[in-house]
Amino acid sequence: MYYYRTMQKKHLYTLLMFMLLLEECYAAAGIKWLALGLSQTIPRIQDETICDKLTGLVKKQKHICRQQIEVMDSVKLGASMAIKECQFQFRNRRWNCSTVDPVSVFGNILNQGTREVAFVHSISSAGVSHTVTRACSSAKLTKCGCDRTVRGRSSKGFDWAGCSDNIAYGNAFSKTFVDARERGRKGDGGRSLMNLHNNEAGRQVIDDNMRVECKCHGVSGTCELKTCWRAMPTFRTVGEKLKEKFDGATEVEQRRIGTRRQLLPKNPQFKPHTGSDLVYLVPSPDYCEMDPHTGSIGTSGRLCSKASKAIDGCDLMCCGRGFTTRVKTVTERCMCKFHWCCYVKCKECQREVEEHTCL
Amino acid sequence: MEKLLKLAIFISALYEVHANWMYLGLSSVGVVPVPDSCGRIPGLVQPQLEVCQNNPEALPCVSEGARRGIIECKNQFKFERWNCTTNSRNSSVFGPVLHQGTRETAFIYAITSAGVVHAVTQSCSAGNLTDCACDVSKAGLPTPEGWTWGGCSDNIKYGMQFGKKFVDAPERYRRNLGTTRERVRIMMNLHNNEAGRKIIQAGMKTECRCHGVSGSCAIKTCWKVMPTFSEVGALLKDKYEKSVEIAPRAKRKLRRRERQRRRVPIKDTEIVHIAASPNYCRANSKNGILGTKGRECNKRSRGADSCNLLCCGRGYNTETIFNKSHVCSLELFGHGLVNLKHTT
Repeated sequence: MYYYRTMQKKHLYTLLMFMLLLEECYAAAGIKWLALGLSQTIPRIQDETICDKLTGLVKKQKHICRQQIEVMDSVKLGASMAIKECQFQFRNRRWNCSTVDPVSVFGNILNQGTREVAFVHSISSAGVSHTVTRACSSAKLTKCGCDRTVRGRSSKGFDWAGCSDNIAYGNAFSKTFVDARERGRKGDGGRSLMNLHNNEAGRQVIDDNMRVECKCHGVSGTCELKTCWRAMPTFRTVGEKLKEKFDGATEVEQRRIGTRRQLLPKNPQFKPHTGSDLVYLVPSPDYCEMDPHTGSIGTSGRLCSKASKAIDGCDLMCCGRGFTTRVKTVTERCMCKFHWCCYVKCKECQREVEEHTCL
Repeated sequence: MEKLLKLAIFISALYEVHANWMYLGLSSVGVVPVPDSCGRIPGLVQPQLEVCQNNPEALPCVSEGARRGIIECKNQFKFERWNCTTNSRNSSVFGPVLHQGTRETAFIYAITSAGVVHAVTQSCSAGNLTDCACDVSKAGLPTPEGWTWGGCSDNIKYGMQFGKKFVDAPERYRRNLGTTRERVRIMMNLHNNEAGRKIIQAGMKTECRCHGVSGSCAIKTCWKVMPTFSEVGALLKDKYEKSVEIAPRAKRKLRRRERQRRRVPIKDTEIVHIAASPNYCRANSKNGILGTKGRECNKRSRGADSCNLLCCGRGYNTETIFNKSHVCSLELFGHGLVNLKHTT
C-alpha cells in the first residue's frame, strides 16, 4: 500500500513536471494562434474536423473552434489584420513587425517581455474583437447581432437606431479565445499577467474609442429627424492609439500582495498604468544587428530616410553603420488633362529618386 | 582685497590644460583683477593676457559676455537632443563638442563671441569702461526724415573691435600652424566668431524719443541700439539650422562642400561647419555626449521636443507630478525618459 502511494506520488510529480515544461513551451511560443492570419492553405474554416489541424491553437482554443466554427473565419481575418496593422505602425522602426515563418509568426521576438510583445498582444486581441464585432453587425454569426442595449432617445435630441456595433460581444469572445493561452500559469515572472493585461488593453482601446455615427432623415436630408448608432473606430485608428500606448508603455514588475500577484510600475515615481495602457517587463534590445537569440533580424538592407532625425532616419535606422544610395528612375503620370467628355489624358514623366539602404 | 585674493585662489584652482577663455562665463570674475593676477586666470593666451593687464576692467565684461552666450545657448537648445551641455568642473566648459567641428561647435563659437560684443558694448554705453563711451559720431546730425541723431548710440564699433582682439586671439595665435585640416578648423572658428559679431551689427535698431510739447513728435531724437541678446540667440539659432558645410581644404577662403554651389560666396553672417553632427541619442563620455535618457519630452508636440524625436524611438515614461497648490484638483503629467537602460 505504501509502495503504491509513493509510486502514485512519483507519477504525479513527473506529470506535474511535464505539465510545467509544456507550459514553458507555450510561454516560449508566444501567441501561436496568430499563425491563423498567415495560413494560406486553409481558405475558409467551415468544418469542425479542421480545428485539430490548425497550427498554433491550444486545447481550449481548439474546443472553441469546434463549438463555434462560424466565428473562426473572423478570428483568422482578425489575426491577419493585426499582423498587417502591426507592420503598418512599425514600418519606420528598426523592428518592423516582419514575420519570419508561418508557424511562430514573429520568431523569437515574442519570447521576451518587451514593449514590442506588448504591442503584438494588444493589437491581435483587438483584431479579433474588431472582426468578430464586425461579423456580428453584418449578421454573419448566429450567436450575436447588433447591440440592442443602445436604444431609446438620447439626451442630445436624436434617436438611437440602426445597427450599433456589439463590441461587448466581440470583446467577450476575444477574451475567451485570445486569453485562453494565458490562463493559470505561475512562475513565469509575470509574463502571463503581462500578456493578459495587454490583451485587455487592446480590447479596451476599441471600447474607449467608440464613435457615434448618425444619419439625417428629414426632407432632402435635413436633420429634423436624426438617428444614430454606436460604431467601432476603424482598425487604423485602433492601431494608431495602440502605437501611442506602445511609445508610452510602462515598465512593470511582478509583486506579491498577499496571495495575489500583481504588476506594479518598476519605478514608483511613474504614473500607474491604467487598463488601456501597455505594460512590459524587460527593456527592448536595440534590434540593430541580427541576433537569433532575441529574434532580431537587424536593420541591414532596410530603406531609410536621409533627412529624418527620427527613428526612420538613416542615422538611427542604420545604427551608425552607414548607408548606400541608389538613384532610381520612377515613371509616373503627370500633366494630366481632362478631355470633354469624358476621359483624362496623362503624359508619362520620369523622375529620379534617391533610395537609401542601410549597410 | 580679501575678495581679490579669493578670486585669485578660485581661478588658480581651476587651471587646467584645456582651459578656454569661455570659462570666464562660468567662474565668477565679478571684480576687476589686478594686472598681476591675470596670469592665474585659466585658459588665456598671450594677447588675452595683454588685454587683461592693460585693460583689467574689461575682464568682468568678457566674463559677463561668455555667461550670456552660455545661458542663451542653453535657452535656444533646451528642447533639442544636444541641449548645450556644459560641465562646470571642466574648464573647457563645453567639453569635446568644442573640438568636433560640427554645427554645435559652430554655434558655441558664434554665440560666445556675440556675447562678448554685446556685454562690452553695453558696458561702453553704461560708462563702465574707461576706453569707450557711447557712439556720438553722428550726434546732432539731422536726417532727411527730419529728426536728429542724439542720445547714446551703442558703440558697436568698439565692441566688435574688442571682441575681435580678445575672442579671436587663441585662433589667430596658431593660425599658420598645423596641418591643412587644422588650419581649416581654425578658419572655421574665426569665421563663426565673426558671424556672431556680424549678426549683432546687422541687427542694430533705431530707437527714438519725442521731445515736443506734451511728448508730441515735433522734436525727435534717435539713436542706435543693439538687438536684445535673446534676439541675437534666435537669429544665430536660425543660422545654425542653415549652417553651411565647408570643404576640408581651403587656401585663403573657406569653400562650400557642395560642388554645385561653390560659386555662391559664404556670407559673413552665415555659420559654417566641417563635420557632420552625431545624433546625440546615447551617452558617450568620450565625445562628451550625455544622451537623451531622462530628458523631459512633450507628448503633444511634433517638434524637436516631441517624445518621438527626443527619445530617439526608445519610448518614454510618464511621471505624475502633483501641483502642490492644487493637490486635489490638478494633475500635471511630465513626460520623461527614465530607466530605459538597454533601449536605443
